[in-house]
Amino acid sequence: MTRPTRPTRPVTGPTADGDVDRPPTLEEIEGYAAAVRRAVVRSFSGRPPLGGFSADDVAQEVVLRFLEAPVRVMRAYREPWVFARVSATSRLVDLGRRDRVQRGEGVRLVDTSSGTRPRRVAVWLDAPTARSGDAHDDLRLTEPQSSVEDVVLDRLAVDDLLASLSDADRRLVEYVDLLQFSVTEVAQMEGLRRETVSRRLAALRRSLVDAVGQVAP
Amino acid sequence: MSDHVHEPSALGGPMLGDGVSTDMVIELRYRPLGDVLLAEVPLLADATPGSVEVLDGDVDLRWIEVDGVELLAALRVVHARERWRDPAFPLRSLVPLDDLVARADRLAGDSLAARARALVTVQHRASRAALARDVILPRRCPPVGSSMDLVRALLLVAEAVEAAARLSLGHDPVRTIRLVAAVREAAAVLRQSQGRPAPGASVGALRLVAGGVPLSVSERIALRRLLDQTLDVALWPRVAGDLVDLAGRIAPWVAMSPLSVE
Repeated sequence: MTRPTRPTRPVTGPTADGDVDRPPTLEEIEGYAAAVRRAVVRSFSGRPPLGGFSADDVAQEVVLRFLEAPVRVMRAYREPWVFARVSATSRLVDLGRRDRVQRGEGVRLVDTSSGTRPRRVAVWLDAPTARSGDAHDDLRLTEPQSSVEDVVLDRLAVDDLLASLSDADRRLVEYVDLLQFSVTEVAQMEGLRRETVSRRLAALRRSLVDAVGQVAP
Repeated sequence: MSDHVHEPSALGGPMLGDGVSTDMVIELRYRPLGDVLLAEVPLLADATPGSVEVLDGDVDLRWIEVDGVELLAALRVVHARERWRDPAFPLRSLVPLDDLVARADRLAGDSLAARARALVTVQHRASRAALARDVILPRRCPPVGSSMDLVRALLLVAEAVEAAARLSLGHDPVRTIRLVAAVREAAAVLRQSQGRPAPGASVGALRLVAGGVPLSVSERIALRRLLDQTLDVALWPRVAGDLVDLAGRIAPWVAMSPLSVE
């Protein structure tokens, strides 16, 4: 599988003093790691155990994954909870795959016009159609008919692209697609016209869908 | 050095509902990095999914009904040390967190990787009566509120502090980024806490409002007071307005237009 090429535009650093080149201190890295663990555990809040995977199992794997490349992660994800969400879902995919392999099941395939390929759906940036009160619903963690793996494969595909967005665009995505504010609310918050926010989001989604297309086998 | 302490239970296995052996084993897992406590009563947790109750943004509890009584089967607490400082916290008497923290402190490793792996697991024993919902939570959960405006206001304050830092020469960047991250984390938690407060995240942010951040003394006092007031759902509408005003004082240009869309 070919991942999208990482754009060359420099990404914003994690520092508060505007110095994007200053490497984070050990204390900052530790603080970020702690916040990642809390965010992953919180993502399990209000839910029963998922297929035998405890919140601690997943959180620990995500923290260790962060520590493999902390500076890179902190530069790509200003917010620890955003990295936690993306990475936790990715770890669930891995655990789900391992579980299926152990049960003797293979990868889920579908027939498409371009041949048989792993089943995937492009839902990463679908805005919520109704307020659910739970920003984690898009993880589909408790819906037995939906596949976390399918969702996350596309998430991973746009991962690099998301990191490449400008601060303004990335915040737009975070507000609407992660914090689940409606487009109207974000427009009100920021003093922009709803159409402006909607148009910008549509453009972002198109570019992300294009990125997903590049990942097709 | 071991990064994992496990205290095996020397206790006998209680029988559910046998009417004789009324003590139950609680398996406690504490992660010092992140200050996260997870606990499970194996005898109950393995039975049925039960019902999950979100107490607030930091705590959720899983209950199993046995013979008409709801018993605690599992719990998750984030910012555990912060919560245990509150004498009224309902799990305080059930879980000996101080003991777990002391064990965790002894594990403190030299490297970040060691601290990230550090885990304290202890098997604790509690009476079945102590696990009853009516004992742990004699009162129903407080009313929920709408956190939308509050979340928006906290994000605005984080943006304002960040913007002020760009123009300030005398601040401590590490303290500033920690404060900004903590306020953003509080906003994210409140957004996802189903209208309930997030005491751990809010107080965690409050403790970082100190010298070194690009705020005046009066702004720091105001921010501390407002973060403290986020614990009371009834105050949320007024707190949200005050936070927006505060953001306007810290960095007026951000409060007017924090998001510039090309």
